[in-house]
Amino acid sequence: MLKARTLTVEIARQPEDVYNFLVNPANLASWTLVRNGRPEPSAGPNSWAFDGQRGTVIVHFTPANPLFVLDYKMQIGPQVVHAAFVRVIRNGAGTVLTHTSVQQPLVSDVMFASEEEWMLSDLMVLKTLMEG
Amino acid sequence: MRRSHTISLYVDYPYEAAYRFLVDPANYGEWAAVDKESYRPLANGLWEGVTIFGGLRHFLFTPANGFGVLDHAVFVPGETPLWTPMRVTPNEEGTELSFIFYQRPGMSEAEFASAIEWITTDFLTLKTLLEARRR
Repeated sequence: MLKARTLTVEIARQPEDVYNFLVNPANLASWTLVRNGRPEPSAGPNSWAFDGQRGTVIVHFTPANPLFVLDYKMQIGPQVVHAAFVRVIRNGAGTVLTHTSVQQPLVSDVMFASEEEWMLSDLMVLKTLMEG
Repeated sequence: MRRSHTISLYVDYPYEAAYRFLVDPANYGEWAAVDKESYRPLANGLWEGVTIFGGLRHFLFTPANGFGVLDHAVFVPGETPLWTPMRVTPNEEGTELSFIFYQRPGMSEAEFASAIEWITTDFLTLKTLLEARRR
């Protein structure tokens, strides 16, 4: 059993808007620390490459779907460093975003805890961006 | 925007089997706070049953999908369905289950807290039920 941690963020914006923004891989660079997104078809049909702080990161996205599921995996070299289950959920005229990270094999407890702190701060950037 | 509370728990039961069980509306009466005798399908795709604390309700379920999404609506017949988000995801040999409960219009703080306790009990029942099936 891998350790899982769920972050929940409420965003005062219609879920369609939040989903349509997030489902476009190019937009990941506007609210996280990765830059310069480009499709990486050799890694998969929904995979993009980005420049990250630890070198090139491959992100495997979920194809567009009517349930607003945005699961993803991040890979550096051969290793999956981060994997998460994500949903954008309607809450009246607003949105609840749930983000469940699953601690990957070879990722230490300290590293996992640190990544969750980074993730929360990224999600706060996303919230501000979507509400602005 | 309504206030929300997220419940998440680990179930020591394989994901595919957990999803197969939960996606079948017939099994909802096995673990949710609904009177099993009264719980039945209607002709229009809805289900109905008497809930333990709220009287007669209609139930509507998300069709089978590849993401483990199990959103369902519980509502007073004739009123607008209020969807409650629920999902199962794989975690190695087991399953993570998450559920969001919204504070409903007119629901006081005390009622909201009490409802969360009821729902948590439902999920502990479900966890026990599924984990017992493994043995």
